[in-house]
Amino acid sequence: MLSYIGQRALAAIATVLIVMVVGFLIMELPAGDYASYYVLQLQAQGTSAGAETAQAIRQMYGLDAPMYQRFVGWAVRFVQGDFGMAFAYGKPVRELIGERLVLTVALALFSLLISWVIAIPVGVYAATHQYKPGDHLFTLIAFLGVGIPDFMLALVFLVVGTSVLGFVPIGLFSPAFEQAPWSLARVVDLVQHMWMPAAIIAVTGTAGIMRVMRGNLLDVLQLDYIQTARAKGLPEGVVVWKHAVRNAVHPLVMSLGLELPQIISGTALVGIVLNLPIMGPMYLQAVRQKDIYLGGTFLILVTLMLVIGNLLADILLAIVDPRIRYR
Amino acid sequence: MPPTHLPASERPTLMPLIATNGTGPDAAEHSDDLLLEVKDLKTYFHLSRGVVKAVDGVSFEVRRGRTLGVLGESGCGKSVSAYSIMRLVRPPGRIEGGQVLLHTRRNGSAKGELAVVDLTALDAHGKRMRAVRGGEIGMVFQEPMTFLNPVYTVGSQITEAIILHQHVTNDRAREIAIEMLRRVRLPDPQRVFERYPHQLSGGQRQRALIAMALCCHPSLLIADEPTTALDVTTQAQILALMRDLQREFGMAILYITHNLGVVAHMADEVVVMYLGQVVERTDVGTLFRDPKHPYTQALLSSIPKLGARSRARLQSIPGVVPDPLNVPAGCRFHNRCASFMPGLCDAQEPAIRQVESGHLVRCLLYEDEDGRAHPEPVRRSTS
Amino acid sequence: MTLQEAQTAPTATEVPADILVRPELATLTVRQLMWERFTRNRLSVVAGVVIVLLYSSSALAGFLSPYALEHTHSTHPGVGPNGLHIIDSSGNLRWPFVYGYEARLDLQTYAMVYRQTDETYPVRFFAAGDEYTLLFVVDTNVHLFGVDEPGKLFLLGTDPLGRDFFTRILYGSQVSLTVGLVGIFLTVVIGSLVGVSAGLFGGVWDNVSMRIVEVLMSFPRIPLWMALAAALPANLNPIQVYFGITIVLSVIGWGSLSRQVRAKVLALRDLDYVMAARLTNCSTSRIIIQHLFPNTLSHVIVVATLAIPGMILGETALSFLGLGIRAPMTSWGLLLSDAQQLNVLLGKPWLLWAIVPVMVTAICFNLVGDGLRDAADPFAGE
Repeated sequence: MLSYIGQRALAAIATVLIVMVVGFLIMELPAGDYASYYVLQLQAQGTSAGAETAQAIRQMYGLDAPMYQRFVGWAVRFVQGDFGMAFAYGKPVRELIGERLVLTVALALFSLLISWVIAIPVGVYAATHQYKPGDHLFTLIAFLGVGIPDFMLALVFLVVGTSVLGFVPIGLFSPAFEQAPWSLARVVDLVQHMWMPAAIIAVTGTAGIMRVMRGNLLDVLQLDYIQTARAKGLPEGVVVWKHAVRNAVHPLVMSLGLELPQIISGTALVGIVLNLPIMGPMYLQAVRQKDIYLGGTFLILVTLMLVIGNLLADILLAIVDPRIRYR
Repeated sequence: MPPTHLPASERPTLMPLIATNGTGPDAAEHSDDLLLEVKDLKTYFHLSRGVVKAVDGVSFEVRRGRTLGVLGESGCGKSVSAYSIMRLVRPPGRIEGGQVLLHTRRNGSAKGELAVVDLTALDAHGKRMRAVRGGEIGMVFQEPMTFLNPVYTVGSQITEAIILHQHVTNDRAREIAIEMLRRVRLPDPQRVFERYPHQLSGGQRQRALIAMALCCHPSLLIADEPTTALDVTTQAQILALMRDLQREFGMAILYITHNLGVVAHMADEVVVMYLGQVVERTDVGTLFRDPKHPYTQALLSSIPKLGARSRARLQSIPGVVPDPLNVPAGCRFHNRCASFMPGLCDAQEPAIRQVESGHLVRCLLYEDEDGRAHPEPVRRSTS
Repeated sequence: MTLQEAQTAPTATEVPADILVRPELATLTVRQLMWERFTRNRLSVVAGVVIVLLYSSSALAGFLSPYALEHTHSTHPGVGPNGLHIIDSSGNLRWPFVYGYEARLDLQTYAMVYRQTDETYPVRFFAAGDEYTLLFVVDTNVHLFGVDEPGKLFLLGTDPLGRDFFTRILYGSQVSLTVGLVGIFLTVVIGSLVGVSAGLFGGVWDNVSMRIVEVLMSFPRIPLWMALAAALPANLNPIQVYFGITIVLSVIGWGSLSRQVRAKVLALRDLDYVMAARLTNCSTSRIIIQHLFPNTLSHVIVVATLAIPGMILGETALSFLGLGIRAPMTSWGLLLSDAQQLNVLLGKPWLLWAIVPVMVTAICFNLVGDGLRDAADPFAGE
């Protein structure tokens, strides 16, 4: 097993390096840099600013060095945790994204939890009651769930919540806790506000997981060793949960590593619509303003999370599947 | 997981190893006892395109301590019969009629009185049937790899069955399991106990499966082609093992196969099946010496013989097994039968008749116009 | 004594279930068989019909909408739907008609308030209205339905600038529905090329290309789309933006497809008939075209169909955020971006109607894709 993990880890490191290169290139992609954007802003506001201003800004931020130099400098600083400056705010990226990133991950995790807690039992039920009304109903709901984009659901929810239910579902904290330091009370407040957006984000994921679980379980239930389990005289519930589900859940466990980053990127749109203090809205602004370090850092961080997530999923699979463990 | 869900009256009693030893004092009395009677069993599959009558009026008996071979091609219904006995038939299949009578002593009373239970009348998922399944009747399947759950150790899958049917602790179950693995002649049983299925060879897995089927000392072992997936040497070993275990445990075996050689090796009595029906039933010696049904005769003559002239063509049965959705009228074998009698075999369906003591045949050759059975063919085919 | 009997009769084991029970199917070609299986799945067929209807109405947007795209009813910004009625105030059944609008300045909010009047305007079919060009060719002014001025037919209300929303949704479909198709086309072409070549040639190219794919697929989709879309130069005209967006959307998609194609090619490559082809000196391109391509085609079609909703949703999301399609082109996402602010949304909830076509399209493509996938797999079923 160790050699298996070692191989995967090496591959992951290679991928990480390439991701950083590609990420950097993407950041550099927009024609014009922050300096020219800033100058344009100034000009739009009526202030006179020209090429010298732009050049001064460039020099101030080191934007005029050749690309490979900038990349190396940036990469070295990046792995040390120095993510550069957010131009529009004038503050280090790290300061800005700190809490937002934590909240983003928390929201994503919560959403993941909700979708798994709902999807697995529902998927098992649908598979064991195949073609009965319950199964049809859940399949229908799953189809709808997969078809609705989450930010649209958020929009509808916004309208319904405000006009019908009478509250304004914006933000993740009550005003009192907004800027307060962390405490248990703040966490409780967070959870109370978080479950709605988390549920909205979870909709698509739940639908997908439920369908996959149903399909996997249907396949596993046809397998021979399920017959053996029944032939031993085991109650059907034990056969399904202990023998079948245990095997059917495998592919889903494997995809866990992929899921968290997907959900994190999925929080972006809902966060923008509901104006949550997570990475989404800040990322949108950064992208629009060509605030490359702010935007790029978020993009690369999430990508790295996915690569590491894959690695962790592989390790998890090795632990859980004895066929790999004892190779 | 002790079977506390079973009320005391329904828990199978643990039969101590000594009493099941076939050489014990009770053995001689039981050897001709009926253990299992299958009477006119019908299992149909309701597909959207029609009904497949996989088992259509099958009857046979299994005696304690003896081996009944069920012989036939793929699709003749032999496996479905076994699954019907075990009540493992899933929708769209259903048992439509007939009885499966189990003569059991395991009904909870101290003296172990004999009781007759109709397995088809029980709830297939109920406690009673589940106590029978794996407890009184064990089953060994064909493909050892796919019939073991890959994510649990072999040992844990055996102890699961032990704890379910017997009332023991984990440690005791482990002891029993390892003892069982030893009795199926697995070297280093403790190590095998902790192994995963993919770490064992095919022969080892099959032995483990046999151990799992026998760990609760069933009175009947149903073996569904257990050696087909193994190489020839291992096959011989497994067959020898099963014979020895049968002697040691005094259990009956229902051996399903398409292989005449295995039948000759293992069976005391043989039932030949074709397209969901029993076509011939007799003891093994008579089957090979004096097969009466044309299908049985054809099967026997299709075996390549050592010493035969190498130029001689292998005899195969002409024609194709009919579509199970479209069973031909009259005798089901008539379109491939060498003794086909036109006007008769394709119109009238023969019933199974006793033509001599201990020998039943389903063929119009052995029936005269009044429907009486004769041990020799009374009609002649015109072809 | 373990003699095996000679296998006498062939038994039906490897034949797909439905051919077993309906032997007449065995004579159809693979394509006909797939069609036959697909049409048995009624839900997929219905979804397919809906998709065809959607695209048809998109092509005929000019005819089906009561007004031209840019017709701004400056007197009626942000009004609600005025609805079709067939029963008048006296309870009589009448030819479909609409009520008129009356505008009044609310002196407290200083906003215009609109009320329905009792004026009725009958709906005319094949009415003369704004000029437009149908199907790029025909200049006409005939619309399927409309009302005479000063009546207004706002089936779904108007947007803040006073443009009929129903019309804009219809015209928006032209962009939203085709972006997916063009993007998928690019994805399929690139993905197949890379996948087939990686599978067939193997070696360094295989390693390198799969590594690239892995990196690409590691990037989170929506944020990457956002970054790339924002990177499009600001001075592109709307058509160029349209193509730019489709390229952005295909950038990640081809990775997944190429991996699946490669897996299929690897499986097929070692089959006997490919070896036979090689032995008869078939050129590589011939092998690809004649042998590998038809076999992977059904798989590619399924994957592509299932990927279209993702692209449509992607374009919708990007336009919603203002990073996608730009005016004067319109798409459903752009229509929704008007609804982004809460105060706008609360006052004009009918703007959310743009969600419905997006959902319907996504769901229908999913259903058709599922149906195709089941049809392509011969061993599914009882």
